[in-house]
Amino acid sequence: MKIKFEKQKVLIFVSLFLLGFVALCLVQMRNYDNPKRKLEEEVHALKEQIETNVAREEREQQKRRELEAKRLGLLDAFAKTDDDKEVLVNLKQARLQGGLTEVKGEGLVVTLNDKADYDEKKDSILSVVHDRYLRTLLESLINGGAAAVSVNGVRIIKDTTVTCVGPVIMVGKNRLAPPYVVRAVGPFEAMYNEVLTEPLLAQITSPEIGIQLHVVKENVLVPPYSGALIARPN
Amino acid sequence: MKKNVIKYISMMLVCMVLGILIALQMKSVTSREFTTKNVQSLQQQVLDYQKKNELLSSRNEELSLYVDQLEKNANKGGETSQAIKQELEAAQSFAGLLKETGDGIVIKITPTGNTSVRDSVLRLFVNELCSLGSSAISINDQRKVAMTEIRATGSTIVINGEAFSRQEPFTIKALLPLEKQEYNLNYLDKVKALVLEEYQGEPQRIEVYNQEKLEIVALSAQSNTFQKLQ
Repeated sequence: MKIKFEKQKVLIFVSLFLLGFVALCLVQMRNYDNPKRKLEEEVHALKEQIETNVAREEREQQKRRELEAKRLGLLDAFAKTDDDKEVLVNLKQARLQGGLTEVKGEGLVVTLNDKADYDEKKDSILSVVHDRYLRTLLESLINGGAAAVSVNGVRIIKDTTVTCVGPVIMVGKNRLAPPYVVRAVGPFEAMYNEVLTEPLLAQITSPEIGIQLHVVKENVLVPPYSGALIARPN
Repeated sequence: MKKNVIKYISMMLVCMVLGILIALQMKSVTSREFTTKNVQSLQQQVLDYQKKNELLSSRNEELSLYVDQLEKNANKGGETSQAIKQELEAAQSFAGLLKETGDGIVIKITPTGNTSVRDSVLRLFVNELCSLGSSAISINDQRKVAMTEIRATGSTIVINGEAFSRQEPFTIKALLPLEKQEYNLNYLDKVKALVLEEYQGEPQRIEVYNQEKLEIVALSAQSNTFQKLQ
């Protein structure tokens, strides 16, 4: 009987000790949480700022679309002579060739992403999408006959460069993060074959490297270059 | 009886402690989102968006001014024609449909012996010239535009649908501002050294030099590249 009582005592002691330990942990956590809480607040504030900026971007893009439509309407209405009309046809062609207008048609949507569950401690640095991978993908699509290409909504034009800056890739002046969604209008079978037979793309999508590459054939809309050129009248 | 009560209470306490510990662990997992690294990344995103929106906004202002002027000139036929012509010229220049003249750089790649010029080397130099800010580039007098392919197919390299022998020299011309002449040459010399080192087994001569009054041809309307977008 006496021994049993000792056991109970020990049990009570251990339980109280654990309770005390937890209480201490909580107190410490509370103190430790102060800088964390600041970070948390900062993250929320930044996310709100991003949302505001996304909304502003949408408004500006909408305004731009309206102004472009108005501009084209005015130009059409003002072209009275045959010369003017010919100039207008050439203008539309030049804007199309330069990537200043959107292009719709059959094509491919190719998504390039880092290795699933990439862990920088365990996985090779090759398992992260590099500028070289994206450049090779774009070149494959162009070699396959692409008429218009965009990456995450950024239209590829004659002097667009693709370069790595830390964990993101600069496409022109745009900082893009994975996944990289490439939309290409053009002969999808030829483009598909080019992508599938490209040696570097085959290498990086092997199980050892694990880069994710998904190709879907569909009707594609490639947006215009967002820094459209405007010639001002005198 | 008393023994059982103590047992239950102990069990309850232990379970409670376990529960609290698990909750704490979960909290620490979710709080990983709030790291300094993430904050920096978000700050960068905010800055990027702000920059992009400012650019969009200023371009919309320009476009708005242009539309206003078009409306004002509605009744002045001559001025409207002039406006359309100016816009056409700017758009054609942007698309690479006009011949361009100016100072720039020439890169000549000559294979020696039995070697062939690699398409990847041409693409590398073209990319570097783009990143240096070149406003117009041609390869063997084929204008480089957005959808220009530079692709090796056996013994030739196809550019804008035109095939060129890989055994013959390739000449890349690029317009580049004179102010950065020295920097550009040094930079391209480094690229050249990298290429020569990487392809040691394939002897080739690469010349990089400045040239005044360089002429860059326009993209031909008959080329495959032009025909893609009709």
